[in-house]
Amino acid sequence: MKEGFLAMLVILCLVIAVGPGVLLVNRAEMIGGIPLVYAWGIAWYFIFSGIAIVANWKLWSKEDPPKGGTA
Amino acid sequence: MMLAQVSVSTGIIPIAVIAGYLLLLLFLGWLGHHRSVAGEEDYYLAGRGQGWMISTLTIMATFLSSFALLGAPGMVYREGVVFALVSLNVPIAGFCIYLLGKRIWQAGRDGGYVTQADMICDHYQSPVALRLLVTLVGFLFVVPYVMMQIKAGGDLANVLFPGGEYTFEIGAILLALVTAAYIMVGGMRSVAWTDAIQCVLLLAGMLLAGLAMIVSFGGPQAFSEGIAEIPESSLTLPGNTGVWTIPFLFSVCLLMPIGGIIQPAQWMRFYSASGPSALRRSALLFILVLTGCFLFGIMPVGLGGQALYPLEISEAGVSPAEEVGSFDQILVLVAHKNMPVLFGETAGALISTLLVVAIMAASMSTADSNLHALSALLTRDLYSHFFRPQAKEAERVWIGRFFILFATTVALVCVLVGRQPESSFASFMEMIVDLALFAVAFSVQLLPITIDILYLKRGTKWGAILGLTTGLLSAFCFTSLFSLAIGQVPEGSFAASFSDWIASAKAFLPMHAAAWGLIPNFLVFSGISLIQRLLQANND
Repeated sequence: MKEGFLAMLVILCLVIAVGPGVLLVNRAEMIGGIPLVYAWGIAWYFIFSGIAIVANWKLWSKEDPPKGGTA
Repeated sequence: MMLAQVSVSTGIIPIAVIAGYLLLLLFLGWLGHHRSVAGEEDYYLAGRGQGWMISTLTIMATFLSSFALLGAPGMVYREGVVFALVSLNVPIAGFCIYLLGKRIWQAGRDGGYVTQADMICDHYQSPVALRLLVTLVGFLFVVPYVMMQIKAGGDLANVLFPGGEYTFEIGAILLALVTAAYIMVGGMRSVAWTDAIQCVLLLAGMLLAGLAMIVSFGGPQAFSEGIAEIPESSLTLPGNTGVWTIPFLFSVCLLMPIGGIIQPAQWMRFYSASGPSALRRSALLFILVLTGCFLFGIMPVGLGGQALYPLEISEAGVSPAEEVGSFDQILVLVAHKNMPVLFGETAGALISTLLVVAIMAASMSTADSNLHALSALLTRDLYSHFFRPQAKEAERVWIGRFFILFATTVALVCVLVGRQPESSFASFMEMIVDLALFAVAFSVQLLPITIDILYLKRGTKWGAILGLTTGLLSAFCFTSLFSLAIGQVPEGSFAASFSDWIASAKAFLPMHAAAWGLIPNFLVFSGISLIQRLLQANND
């Protein structure tokens, strides 16, 4: 259940990051000294990293088998 | 804005550094052999005991390949900022490492599986048809991937030692031979150890290359001013060639990482991990470190390259600046020219050579993993099942070594023949990124089966066989190799009409070939499975 929610969240983020969401930023402009599309990519890198850190901390680490046991 | 560029005489430094690196790899091959225990499980899976650090580094190194340091900068140089979005395929691969990897690990341990086909065939009870199909998928993925690494060896030799008549051939042969040698000697243990060293080298190389590019402009401000002047088409989608439309970008970002993670070599890395916690840490580091290296290391190289060596964009297409020669060589050229200016002749030549070693590391780490996995596929899934079921473990390990040599030779011959200007496949092999996209179009066809085995458990044997067959055929029809092969048929024939239909379909929905294969694959797999289950229910 939680795995399904995580997979859906990641795919939703991908749809916005590299799907139709790109239309929001697809302009030859600079922001903070870098191209807007490049900045959009960096912003989504931080979002994906945040999701991975939270998933690892709140979800995945609880699935680890006890020491000496199997999963 | 930028430093003057000078050519340098690198003298003995490149030869000494590269020779030292290759000797280190051979030593690790010997060490892996020395530590090994007789038997297939140790040769192919290092006894299923790899800790999180080695697992992380070998999974990363297998994923990266020469695409990281040659193909990716080449693509940024050719297309522009769209690659920042393509880099977001890496987090998807990271999530797959845990979500798919931990279940593959568990099934591998419970069933004692060694190869991908072991698990798939056991689940669907199809010892012949599915085994042959899964082996074919492995072959179709591994050969182009290994070709791409061998080609990188030749390209590097061309840049490092220009002017020689057979420089490309010598570089390609040397890379192929050393890689084959240490896998044959040491098996999975050597492959994983060398991958670990190679991964550290190539991650450092990616970041160092980006840093060097920004420094060579005189700092972030000057770099920013430089890239503000590149063409508008480099700053937006669909890039300079017009290929990177949103449907194409989305299908690549979703399917390329999945194809890269469920390919045979990665599958075996999941089996060989010591446990799910090793894969959990691998997934996290993969997402955080690797994506960052692409965005902050590789992107500046390609964008700065466009400012330093402006592209020639015309109606005929996009060409690299004459000095660059080939898109894929932009990083090597930038390093070779700018490092000595930045750090002095000797230190610059040393750092520039270390970057070249990092590229070799990227190439060899992927080639070794794929050759090793292909050897397992051909030995266990073909030789022991169909030719000599009575073969003992020691014989199978030796046959596996022979297959490594055989596959390396096939890939090497394809590279040497395919790069001849008169070859009809010269354009197919022009860019590393194209070879990578070709290979994953096939491996991703295992996705419906993988999801079914690991999560749903609703598919049937014939659904799997027919779905996979349909997916492979359909994906092939949408690859550039199919266009090249069919381009020579007479007009008005059925093949020509079919080719026109494919071109219209591509124009209507410009998705990657992997997606064109996956859609019919999924429909056939689920449709046949549903019909079979309904018939079964009626019979019961």
